[in-house]
Amino acid sequence: MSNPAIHLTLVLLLPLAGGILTYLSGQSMVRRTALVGMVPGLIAAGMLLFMSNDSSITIRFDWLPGHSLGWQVDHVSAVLIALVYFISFLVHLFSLHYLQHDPSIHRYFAKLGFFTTSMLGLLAADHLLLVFVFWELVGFSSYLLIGFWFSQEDKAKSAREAFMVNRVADAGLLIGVILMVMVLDQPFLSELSAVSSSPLVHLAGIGLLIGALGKSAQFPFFGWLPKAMAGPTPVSALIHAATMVAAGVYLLFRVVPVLSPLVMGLAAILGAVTALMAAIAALTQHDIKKVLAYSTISQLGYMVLGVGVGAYQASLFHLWTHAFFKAGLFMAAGAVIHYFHELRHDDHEFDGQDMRNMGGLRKVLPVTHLVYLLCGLALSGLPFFSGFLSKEGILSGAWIWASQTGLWAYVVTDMAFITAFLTPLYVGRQILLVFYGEPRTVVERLQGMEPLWKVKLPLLLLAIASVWVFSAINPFNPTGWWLNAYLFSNDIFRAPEGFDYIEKLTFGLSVVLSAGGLLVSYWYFRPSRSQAYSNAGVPQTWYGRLSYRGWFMAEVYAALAKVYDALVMLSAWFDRKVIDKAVNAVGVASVVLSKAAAIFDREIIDGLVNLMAWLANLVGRLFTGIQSGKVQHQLVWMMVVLLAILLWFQF
Amino acid sequence: MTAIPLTYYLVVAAFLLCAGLLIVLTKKNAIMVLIGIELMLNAANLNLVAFSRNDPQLNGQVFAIFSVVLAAAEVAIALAILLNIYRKYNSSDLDDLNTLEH
Amino acid sequence: MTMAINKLFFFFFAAMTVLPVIYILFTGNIVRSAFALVVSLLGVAALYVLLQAEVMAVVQLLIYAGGIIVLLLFGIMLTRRLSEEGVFAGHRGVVIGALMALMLFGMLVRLILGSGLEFETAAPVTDQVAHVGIAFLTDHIVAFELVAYLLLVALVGAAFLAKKSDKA
Repeated sequence: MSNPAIHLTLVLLLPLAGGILTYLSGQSMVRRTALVGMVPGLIAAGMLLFMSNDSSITIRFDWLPGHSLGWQVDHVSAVLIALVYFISFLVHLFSLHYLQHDPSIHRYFAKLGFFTTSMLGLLAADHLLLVFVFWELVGFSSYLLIGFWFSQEDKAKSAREAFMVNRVADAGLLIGVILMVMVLDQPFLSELSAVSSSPLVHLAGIGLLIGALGKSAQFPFFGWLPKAMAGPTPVSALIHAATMVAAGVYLLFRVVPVLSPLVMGLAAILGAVTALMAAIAALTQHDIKKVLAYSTISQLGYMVLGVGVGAYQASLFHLWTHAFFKAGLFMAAGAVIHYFHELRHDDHEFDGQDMRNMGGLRKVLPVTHLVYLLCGLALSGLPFFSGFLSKEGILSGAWIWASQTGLWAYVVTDMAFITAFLTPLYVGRQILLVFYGEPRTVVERLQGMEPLWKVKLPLLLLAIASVWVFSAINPFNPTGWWLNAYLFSNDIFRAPEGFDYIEKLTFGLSVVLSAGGLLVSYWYFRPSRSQAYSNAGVPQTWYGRLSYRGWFMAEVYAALAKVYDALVMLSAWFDRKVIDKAVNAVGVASVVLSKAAAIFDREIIDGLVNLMAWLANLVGRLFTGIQSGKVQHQLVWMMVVLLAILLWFQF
Repeated sequence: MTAIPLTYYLVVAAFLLCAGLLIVLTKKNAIMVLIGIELMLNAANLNLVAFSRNDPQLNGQVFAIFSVVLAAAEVAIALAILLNIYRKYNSSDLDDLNTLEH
Repeated sequence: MTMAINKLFFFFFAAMTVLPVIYILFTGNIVRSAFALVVSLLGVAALYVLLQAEVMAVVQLLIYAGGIIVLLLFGIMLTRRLSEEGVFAGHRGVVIGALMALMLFGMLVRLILGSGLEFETAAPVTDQVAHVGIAFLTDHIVAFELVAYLLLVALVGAAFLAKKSDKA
């Protein structure tokens, strides 16, 4: 492998090639063709890690004269590429089990390959325009995947909504990218340098931030993520847990050098607000996937908050850990849903995703239960799990930042800590309702529910990755991530002198909060009360409804759409009345002009011609006088001529 | 008797010619025009006779005699035509004979 | 002395020729014009005599003064309604005609006076009538016969033309 460009191309394109091959060979061959692209690609990604170990792989090529684009694979990109490959590979495996009865499964794998390639391209791109291109591709492929079952109207609508909300946010991204490339002249991510705080820099930062908010489902753009649960669960595992939604955080991480303090503060506030709002919404959901969706939004809020307060290394760490445990949670939920589909496949009224129909599943799905437990505890932020370490960094970072920024900043910190309490609350609720207590639906052990290679392996791998060992040696040290040195060259966000008490305080507080949250949830949803849950309806209190309806974001979008419609009507009216009138006026003017020209032609041109005729007539009449018929006249003319001749001969 | 030079006679003849021409061109009545024509003929005869003085053959005179005879014939016919015209158009004004007018 | 008388005779007869013509030019009276023409022609005859052209003079008197004038007078009488129009006739287009005539006269006079033509001093022919008669019947016999023929035709033609039409 001498040429890094060829290697990079292979790494990027193998998933897509594999996907196309799968699609072309048809549904019957899926079992054999689905992993054709992924396995070599995984190996190639591993080699890429080694290749980029000593020095980053930078490839530049000319695009337009004077403009060049480029790729770069440095440590961060290589690690993330490997992460995406790994999780995508596991999702491929799980999908073979989950969608085994689906007639369009070959189309699914083609889309999955396309998505993987787009995400990898985004990670490897260096020039902001390339990032934008792959950003859009990722959005488009996620639309394809969410709308996989597009024959059902509501699923197609959800896919459209996801794509559209993303596109609206991408307008901001585009502004940011254009400003960066054209005005601030910083097109390459690897060459970003700090800039002075001018209004343009603020604008560019805000534009990029808006793009990240849309992709990572932050306030006010998070309405699409719960709706996106209409896609197959493995898709949610890949896209909405580990990869696509992390793209926004990745972008923010990359452009930190050019983010002004104003933009950073904005990111912190929005991240914290989103985390809190989503955690509140997750508390009352009945759909198993919606809980996880809101949880993702909340955790992404943490990541954005981390970038905003300056602890971007912790954000990246959290992205890493979140990818594993959230994917694990989603896939385990997928196993549960698949179980119910198999159990009650003849009953179309039965909602296999509604937690009110579940309960006591740990007896029939033991591996799934174990995985859910491990990943869920990691999500809660309990020590000895990976999630604790990464969340720690963000929480202490927020506290330190607030202490340096001002009293108002403590609101942000407080929101982060409250969310840290709510997270284990909804996690515990979910685990208890699904796996513990008496089954609210009759369950029985089914055959082939947890096959080894396709289900057990991915799930267990992810669960193990959620345990602390694979992230850091010391379960209690948030800065001990063994990738720290590799990724950041040990440049960690540390408390300045005199502020290390904050780190200790954060440690204590977060332990208390996560343990406390789990205990409260156990008390509230203890197994003996599980039977009552089957009759739980939609919450009626105002705060309950606010939480259940996801803060009514969908309704907000609909209202905005109505405003837009009104604008469209207004401009159409304007066009009709004003512009058409102008066009008509031009038409009338041209008719008037043509009539004037006709008059000119008639009077003047014809007049000239008539004048000629009249002149000829005049001359003719003059000369006809000669032919008067009177003899004497003619004699006179004869004499005239005769005399003329004589005179001429005389002289 | 060569006291009177030739040119005197010629001048008289020229005068008669031009006067006859004037009469022909300007007079309204056809008879007056005939008078004018006679004058012109006479002028020509005078010329002829004046020059025949030098001629021992008297060719000029002979010619002049013929001219007179022809003049007589011409007047007769002209008057006959005039009579017819007068009967038809009831006028002897030459300007009334304008059916050839354009 | 002879010369002076010759000159006197010449100018007198020249005047007798020219003045009536001038009268014709200025008058409108047709009958009087006809008579003035007679006088003028008599003057011309006299000039012929002065030119020692006796035959011509007599022929002139006979035919012109005797025949043609009579014809003219007959013509006048037959073509005028004397009760209505009288014997007056006007003229028109005098200016242009006078111009033409004057120009022609001027040119002719210039030519004549500048030509330097002279009478030759030869003896006049004595027996002119015989000479002319012989000339008619020898040198100019064809013309003589033709003229006779023409006279016949003219006579017959004029008589036919002047005849009153039967349809009147």
